[in-house]
Amino acid sequence: MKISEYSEKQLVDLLKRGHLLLSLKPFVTRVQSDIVSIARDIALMYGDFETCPIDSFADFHVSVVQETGILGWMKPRARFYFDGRPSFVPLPVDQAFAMLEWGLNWCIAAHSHQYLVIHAAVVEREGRAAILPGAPGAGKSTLCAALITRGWRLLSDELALFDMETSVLYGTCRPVNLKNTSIDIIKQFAPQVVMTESVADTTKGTIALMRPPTGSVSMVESPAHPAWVVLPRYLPSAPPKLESHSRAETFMLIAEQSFNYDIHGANGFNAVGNLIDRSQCYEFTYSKLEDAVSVFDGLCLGRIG
Amino acid sequence: MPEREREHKSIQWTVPSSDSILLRVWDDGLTVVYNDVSGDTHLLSPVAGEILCLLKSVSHSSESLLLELEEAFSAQDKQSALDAIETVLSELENINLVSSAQN
Repeated sequence: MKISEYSEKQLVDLLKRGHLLLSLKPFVTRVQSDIVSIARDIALMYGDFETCPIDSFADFHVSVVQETGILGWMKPRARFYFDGRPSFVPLPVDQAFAMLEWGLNWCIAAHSHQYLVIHAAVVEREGRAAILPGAPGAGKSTLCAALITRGWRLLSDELALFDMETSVLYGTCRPVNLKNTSIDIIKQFAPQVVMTESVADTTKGTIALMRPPTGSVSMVESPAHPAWVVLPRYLPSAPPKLESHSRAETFMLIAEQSFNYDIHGANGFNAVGNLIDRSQCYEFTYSKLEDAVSVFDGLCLGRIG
Repeated sequence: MPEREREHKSIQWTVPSSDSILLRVWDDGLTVVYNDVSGDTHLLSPVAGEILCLLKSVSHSSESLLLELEEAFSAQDKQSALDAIETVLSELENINLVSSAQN
């Protein structure tokens, strides 16, 4: 049964009892929460996702719970629990859904060693994946959000799951994290997108999440073959510029941006090497999303590279 | 034979656990190397990568390395080429990829 098939009341009830098993392929997450706004945001963002029967195996057991006591009453705060243990500092309750998203990212990054987990956005077209690593603020989520409104499939805006045996990429196709000015930029670029309410004053500034496209969610189990690694850099007023980037330097960046590269030892080294062998590597400077989409379409059509 | 030249010939450089060293080299000559003993990954210049490749198969003195790498150092006189090679060897030694021994 899909999330969109539940009423809000049913979702609230399932969450309260810890009976919501969300299928985030290839993972299953059991979510528990007493915060009503989380039910609303799950309905808004995860409508196309399947749930699993209550007795299914869950990879991650997470809760986001409102803190009790006088302090909790004066200044409502929410706390994230993983396997029943409190994790991370409590945050204002209006950040509860963002906290769930960040907590899920951590669950996947810290525990999914069957993959090389790379901190990067990944989009796909015609079976070929563009991997967009980059430091916070480089514009990877904004670029990813723009591309998935123009024919590219979303694998992930945050975590690329690289299968080291088959050298293909997966993603969980979860909501896209947008920050600060990116929120309005994407609203103007693609007015049809669905977003959560913006939440101000988080550690990342103002944030909003964007619903993943239905077509991408339905293809979540289809892998993509690495074809391009593009290091994006947003630069105000800059014309679009795509330049070749050294494969060895890109290797080092991907290794650095992988959460579990060190754990995999020689296998991790070979995996990153295989990914780089299969990819054209670029640096991409841009200021306008329309230009960026044209450049990426050019890459896909073989007009560039 | 001057003392310095004797030194160039008498010190042998080697990769102590060559099976534990994995390398990848791409078009621009930059090399990435993984040392399975330390778990460290390094980015090496084209010359450092070539020297490591040579030492991985057989030990060399800096003089014999210069003979192998003649093309890369063709613009330099012999002494400055040897100095450059020894600087690279010392850097590789500092990150535990090569070691030296007196002949």
